[in-house]
Amino acid sequence: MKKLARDPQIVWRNEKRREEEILAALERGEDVGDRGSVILIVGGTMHQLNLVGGYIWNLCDGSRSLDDVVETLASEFDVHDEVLRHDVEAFVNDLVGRGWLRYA
Amino acid sequence: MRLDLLDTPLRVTWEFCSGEFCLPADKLRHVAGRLTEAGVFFVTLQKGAPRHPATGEIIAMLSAGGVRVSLIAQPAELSLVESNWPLQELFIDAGGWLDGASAQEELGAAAQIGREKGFSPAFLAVPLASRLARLPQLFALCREHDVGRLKLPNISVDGNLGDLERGKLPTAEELFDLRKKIGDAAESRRGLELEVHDLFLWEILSRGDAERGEFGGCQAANSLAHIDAQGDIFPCSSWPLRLGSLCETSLEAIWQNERRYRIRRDIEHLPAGCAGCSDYALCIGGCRGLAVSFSDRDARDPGCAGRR
Ligand code: SF4
Repeated sequence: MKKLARDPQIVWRNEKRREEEILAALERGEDVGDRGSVILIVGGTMHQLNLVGGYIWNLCDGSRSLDDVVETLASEFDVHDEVLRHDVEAFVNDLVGRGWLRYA
Repeated sequence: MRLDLLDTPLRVTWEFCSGEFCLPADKLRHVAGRLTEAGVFFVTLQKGAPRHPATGEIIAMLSAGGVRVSLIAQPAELSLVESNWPLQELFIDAGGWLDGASAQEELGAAAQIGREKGFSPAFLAVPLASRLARLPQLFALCREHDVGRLKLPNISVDGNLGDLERGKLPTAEELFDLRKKIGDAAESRRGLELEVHDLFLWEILSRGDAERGEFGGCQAANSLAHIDAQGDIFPCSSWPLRLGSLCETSLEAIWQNERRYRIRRDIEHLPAGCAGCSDYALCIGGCRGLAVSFSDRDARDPGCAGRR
């Protein structure tokens, strides 16, 4: 199965302190969907990915297929497999459509 | 999505020399190491960088650490730029030409040398008040010399506030004059990719028919930072408040200190001069560094004509 890889032209990094804050907010039951923990610069414009998006992005290092990504996330998140697969697929398709991720 | 405080800056300008003073190579390596450790994305080397004997090594070091490096050179410094430097972008400073201090041929020759060394050089000019009137001529000059990109960065203030008088900053009236002079903005910038830091200048040059790209209010002490020739770090080059020394402290630690947070709180504070402005969500008080440097945190951007 084809592996998912990030566009090497995109500069990005994990924001460790923000990730810690988001995890703490999550523990408190707050909605963290609009809080970014990964920063990317694409064509001079800054974008952010939220916690789950950031995890997926980190996993797309050219060594994992979509199934591998879903499997890895399933071991970390308490979400029904079908729902998780659907959400990951939708996210990945969006990023593939933008050219930020590709199947290699 | 909300832009919270970043762990460290993303874009850093680094002034290599101040007059005759430059840090020795070991200190420069130390500072460069701080930048790569901190995961900075973009570093622009300026003020005397091509003249320093360690510049090639520093560029290679930054680049190996994942940093995209750009360099600003004076026209006369192009011969010092090495073709094997892994630069993302090479800028030639056209400010001297705008000041009438250097000849057009010198700029054209510098662009040609840059191309012969394998770069696609861009021109750059700090948009001081005295230079505004000649901007349309600079656009034409870019076209004449096949330079497809022009950057008009923010106006930097010397670290000890000694270098810039208020009179050098464009006023609202001077910007208004430029608006009249520029005529058809789209025609004026035809074939040119323009990067303009100042919002008011950008409005004149784009006249609403071009994308501004990345802008989310003043990014000083968040995604932006400036390093002076001593290795001291500032919120940005327009805000001369020393936050710490990269010769002594890591960038991560400096970005967690109270001075940095105070700057960010000042930026978030609604300046009294902007209260009620209908464009506040877009402009967010403009350049807060210049506003604070020449007045206080309640002042509008010095180039603002008034609330909208
Ligand atoms: S008053 Fe001027 S500086 Fe303040 S937000 Fe409005 S346009 Fe910007």
